[in-house]
Amino acid sequence: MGQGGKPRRAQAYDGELGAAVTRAQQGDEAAFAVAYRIVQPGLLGYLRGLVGEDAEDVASDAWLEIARDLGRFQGDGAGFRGWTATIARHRALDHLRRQRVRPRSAVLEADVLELPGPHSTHEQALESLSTARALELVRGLPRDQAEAVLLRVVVGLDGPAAARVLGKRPGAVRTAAHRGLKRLARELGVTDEARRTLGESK
Amino acid sequence: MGERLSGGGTSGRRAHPDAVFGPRHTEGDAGLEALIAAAVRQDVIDAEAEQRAVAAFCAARDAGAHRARSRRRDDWSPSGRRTRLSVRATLSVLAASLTLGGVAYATIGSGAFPDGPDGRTGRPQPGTSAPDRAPEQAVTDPSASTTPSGSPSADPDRPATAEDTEAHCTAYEQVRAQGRALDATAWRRLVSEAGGEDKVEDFCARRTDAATTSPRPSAGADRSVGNAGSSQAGSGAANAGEGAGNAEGGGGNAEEGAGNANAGADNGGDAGRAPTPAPSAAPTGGAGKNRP
Repeated sequence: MGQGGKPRRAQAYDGELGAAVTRAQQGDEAAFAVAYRIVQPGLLGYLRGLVGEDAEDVASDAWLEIARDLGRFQGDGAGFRGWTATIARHRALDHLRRQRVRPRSAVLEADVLELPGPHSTHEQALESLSTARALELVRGLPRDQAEAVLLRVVVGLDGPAAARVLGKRPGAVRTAAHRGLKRLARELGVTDEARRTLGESK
Repeated sequence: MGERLSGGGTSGRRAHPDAVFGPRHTEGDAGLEALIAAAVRQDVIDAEAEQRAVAAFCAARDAGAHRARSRRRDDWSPSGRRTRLSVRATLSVLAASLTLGGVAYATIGSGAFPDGPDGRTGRPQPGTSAPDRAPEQAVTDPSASTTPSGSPSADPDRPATAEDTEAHCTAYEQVRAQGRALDATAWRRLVSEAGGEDKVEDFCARRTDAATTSPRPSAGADRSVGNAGSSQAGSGAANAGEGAGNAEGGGGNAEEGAGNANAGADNGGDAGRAPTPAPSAAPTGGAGKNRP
């Protein structure tokens, strides 16, 4: 558990992840733990966006299935992200079906920060973004946009892989992610104008 | 919450947010994406959860579960994805041609049918030929003629049920990914047939394997023989049912090709009902053989 901090961009680890998965498929449990540590942060973030506070439980279920079916998987590190995301999504949907609770209706923590005003500076908007606030914003999006954003940005999937996880066409997922990000930027007060002003002032 | 987690978390690996956001302030969308990723990703690993996962891995490995066969959904290699698409395209083209060919064939057949009740001009619409024929078959099994959409109870020997299951298996993955349509009767039936939602994949994998090892032409041959052996009126009714069954299976394939599970599922249902008089070539041929 003691290794150094990981970069936020998931793709940077795909090579290492692919190697770890291959070794794990040959029976190396330490390699499976390595794959777990690379995949779990993004997977848990995605599940938080889907099922909220139950994300840890759903992730545990998903990992049981991943651990059981690892021998069936074929592909590289990026493919492993997609495969695991698909399993996690199925578990999350099963969970929601059992609960009959729509993902966005779950109550998030009450101490989320105030929405920054339209005149906030870019820095203020960024600094004020806690995890809870970010999750609230993402979960406030329409479901397809939220999932597209989470899979692309948080899990680190490319367009076709995210489309396969969602069972949709890549074009539809690309559009949904674009719209979702645009709306998030607007709600964060990060307008294009603010960006330009900041860029010039620096 | 991330900030608080770094205090109470197991390892405290999470960096201060500013360290992440700092360099990306002016990068536009990339900056926003990094911001969201940093805020939503859960970078503190719960050691206990990790140990549970590793323990499950070891148990599965020791039980030999890792020698299980790959299903299509497990193939995330780039080449596998391409193959998958070409199979889909082939299937959808095949389904479309079968459907269109069946309609065309049914049109020819109904026009040339010599002992129709109203003669040749009486039924110009191929879409109504099956219901028109139903009254004159009153002496035969009424359930077969009144349920042309082919409920599985109509004929226990009918092989179309197996084909239905196969088609449902093919579409199941997509529909499940959509997460909405699983309550429909067809899916519930599939799930109950498999013995539970968790078992559907294995069930389908077995089904698909069985289907590829015993190809469909033999099933078609059996069906023709069965039709030839039965009485003329009875075979007409059975043909209507089997035509529906085939059309439904084709609908499932077409849906798979389109890659749109929701709309596809609806289309599959419609295909099962609407073109009832569009039998595949084999059943119509069986009816032809019966005529002297």
